[in-house]
Order: sequence, then C-alpha cells, then structure tokens
Amino acid sequence: MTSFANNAAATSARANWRRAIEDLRDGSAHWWVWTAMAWQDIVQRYRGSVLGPFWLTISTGFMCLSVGLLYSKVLNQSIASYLPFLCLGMALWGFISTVANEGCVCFLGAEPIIRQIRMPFTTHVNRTVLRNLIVLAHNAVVYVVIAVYFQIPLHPRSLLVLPGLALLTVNGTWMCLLLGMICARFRDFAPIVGTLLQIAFLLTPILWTPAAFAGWEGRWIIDINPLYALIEIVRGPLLGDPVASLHWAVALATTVAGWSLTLWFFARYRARIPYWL
Amino acid sequence: MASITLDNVSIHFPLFHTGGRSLRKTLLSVTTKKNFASDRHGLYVRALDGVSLQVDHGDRVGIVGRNGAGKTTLLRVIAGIYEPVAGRVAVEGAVNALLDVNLGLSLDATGYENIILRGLYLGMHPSEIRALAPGIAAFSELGEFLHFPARTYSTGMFLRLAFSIVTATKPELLLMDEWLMAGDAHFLAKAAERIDGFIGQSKILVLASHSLEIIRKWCNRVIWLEAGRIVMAGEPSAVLDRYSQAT
Repeated sequence: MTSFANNAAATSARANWRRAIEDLRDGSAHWWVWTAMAWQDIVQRYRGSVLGPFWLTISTGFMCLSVGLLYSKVLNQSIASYLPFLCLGMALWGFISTVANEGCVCFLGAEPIIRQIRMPFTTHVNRTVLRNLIVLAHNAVVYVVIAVYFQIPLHPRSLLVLPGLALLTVNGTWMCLLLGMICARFRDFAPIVGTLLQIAFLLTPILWTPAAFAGWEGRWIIDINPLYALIEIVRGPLLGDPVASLHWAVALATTVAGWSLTLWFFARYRARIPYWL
Repeated sequence: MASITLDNVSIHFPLFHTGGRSLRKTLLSVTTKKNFASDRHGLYVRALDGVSLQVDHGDRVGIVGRNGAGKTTLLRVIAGIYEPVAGRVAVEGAVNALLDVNLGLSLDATGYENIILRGLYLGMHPSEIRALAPGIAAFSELGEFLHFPARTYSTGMFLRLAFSIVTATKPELLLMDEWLMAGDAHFLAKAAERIDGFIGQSKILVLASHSLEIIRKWCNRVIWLEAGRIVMAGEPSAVLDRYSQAT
C-alpha cells in the first residue's frame, strides 16, 4: 500500500512549485484511481437505464439532424456538407462546455473525499476530464454514422485528428483545474462561467460556418477565438479540410498561456483548496 | 520507522461565506472562546495554534478536549489534508485516517463498488483491493445488499460496510475519531476482536475521543486540547484526572 507523502510546511514559493508539480505527476501516475472514478460516474449516471450512455448518442443524433435540416436551409448550404460540420462542432463544444461547467465543481463535488483522504488534487481534475472524454466518445458514434452515410473520404491528413484531440484534452485539463480552484474560493463564479459559455457558443463557428466571412477584413476576430481553434484542430482533419496553421498556432498559444496561468495559480493556492471547501 | 512530527503548527480557517459585517460582529461578540481573530484578509478561526508534537513508533496517543477544541483538525493535519499556514509537519509511514463514518464513500455506488473505490483512494492497486474484496464482503454480512446502492442501507448496515472496509487494511499510522467504537451492539461484539487486532497491529495510533474509558483502554499518552492549543500532555492518568476536574 502506498500513500501520498505528507511533509508539509508553510514555506517558500519554490517548495510550493515542487509540490504542485508532484501533485500533477502523482495524479497521472495513479491513473487507475481516476479512471475507476470516471467510469463509476458514468455507470452511476445511467444505472437502471436500458440504453445507458447511448441515450447521449440518440439525443445528439436527433439534435444534429433536426437543427441540421433547418439551418442548412437558413444558411443556404448543402446538407451533405453542413450536417457533418454541425455534428462535430456540437460534440466538441459539448466536451469543452461540460468540462468547463463540471470543472467548476470538480473540487466542491469531491469535498467528502478531499476532507477524508489525502490524494493529489489533480486526481479530481483528471476524473472530470476523462468522464467527459467518455461522453465525447459516445457522441462520436453519431458522426461515424453521418460520415458513412455521406461517404466522407478519409485523407492521410485526417490522422491530424489525433494530435488535435490530444491538444484539446490538454487544454480541457487546465480549464478544469483553474476553474475548480476559482469556483471553490468564489462561489459566484460558476454561474458566470455558464453565462459566458452560452455567449461563446453563439460566437464560435459551430452553428454557422466562417465561410460567410471570407474576404471580410474583420475576419481575424473570428480566427483568434481559442475555442474555435480547439474545435477546428479536431473537426478540420475529420472533414478532410486542410487546417490553417493559424488555428494550430492559436491552439498552441492557448495551451501555453492557459497552463502557465494555471500552474502559477496551482503552485500558489493548491494547499488552500481544502480550506475553501 | 513510523513517526509524526509537528513543529509549531497553526491552522487558520478563513470565514468567507458568513455574510456581511453584522454577522462578523455577532460572531466576535458571541464567542466566548478566544480563537476568532482577523487580519487584513478578514475573519478567521484559529483551529490550531502553535501545536508541537512528537509521536514515535509504538506510541498510542489519545486526544481529549471539548467540541471545537481542534481534535479532528489535528487528525486532519496529521493525515495531510490540511497543510499548515505556519509551522512544519513531517509524517513517516502509510496513514489510514478514519475521520467519520462516511469515509468519502458514495451513496449512489453499490456496497461492492464502494469497497473497490475506497481501496483505490487509499493508494492500493486495483489488483490488491480486488484480492481483499471478498473478505471485506464476507465480514460485512451484507450479502445481496452489496449489489444495491449504499443509499438504501440502514445506518447500521452502512456502519458495518465502513467498518469492514477500513479494518481490512493494515495501516502503519492509524488516525481515528471515536465513531469506530460506536454503533450496532450485535456487530460490535463480533467486531471487538477485529478492532483489537487492527489497532494492535498499527505502529502508531492517534485517537480522538470524548470517552475517557476508550482513551484509558488504548492509549499510553494523552493530549488535552483547548481552543486549538495543547493544555497538557503526558501520562493518561495524570492528564485525564486534571481533564475530568476541569470539565
């Protein structure tokens, strides 16, 4: 039996950084803890239901189909190109927004555990992110059906979806950790996050395609949206579109900036989390 | 070697969610204890105030004190849940902290799932806890109920589950609030032997309790806490006599 070392002292910034890094490292090393927790969350959510998590697949499918049929007319686009675009956008947005919303309660919700047993705080973060990756995988089934139906060809460059997904997950992790800490301290923050996400949904190319803005000089405002970049690096390769290097650059910059801020925050306030709960 | 060292440890709880100034004033005026204080960050409670402690291999330490004296907070500091705002904590050895009956168990998970999860929380590998699970299940006498959510259990059943899980491991450092000694008389008769073995095998025991009986039975050192400070520490008979007179 191993147990996470308790050698704490109110000391230097350097020790705080070391402990933050150790937390991240130990959290990943004991992956079986958060995989079991995430799986348990899914099992629990759908206990007693016949279709279980495939209700997600069905509801996403209906949502995409109904919205897709209507909006392809509104936006005057062919259903064959609009529906796959919409479906991927919705599934990926679902991942980002749920990670952010559930990230707000990743420590608050784990309070009974945090106040009982010492374990890396990133365990609770990884649990939340993985749980939503499992949900994303169920929603991906809808896209597979659509892709087969419309015979969307696979390019060699479709493989770029893998680094795209990895980058999306890495970004989801810092969002979850940062929001978890802020929302544990400031209880008013979670509703603010929810509101901002609703606005961001409408401002990000998910329902609408950025093609409408081709040639417009203000187009950069759309392109620098980090959420657009994070969606596009996964959606683009799957649709067979070449992903502009701008999107990769924005996604990487978001990763670096987001993790820098989060690590600074985590090093400084990690030990305060149990006091805030 | 198992050991616990606390060097001038203080724990302050900020009071964030208590509302406006009027409540703050009320708190300050109503409280007769002197462990409320404030600084530029606002109002806080001194749950522990400059506590130093050295516990070595083989020690059996009892903590006594009134409600709110800081007993559970002290256990949480040793368990590594609260890192001190001032001072230093060093703990050698694997800790098992049994702070309340819930143990961080999930009411929505089944009894069996809770056995597995709790094992993982304690740092066991999935294969280790799966090997222990049948023994835990048998000792709990919950039978078919292990496949039902813990929400459906009676208090006695829940206690049995919790007890069976925690006593199945062999911790080096055992930190206990007194709940483990309470509950269902029939089960406790069977459990008494297991408690003896469980506590006996630990290399260090730190036990917080209101029951002087329990402290006398198990401990060879006693610490008396009051308002986050150690009032007295030493031989059980000496400390407990003074404590009984004072309360």
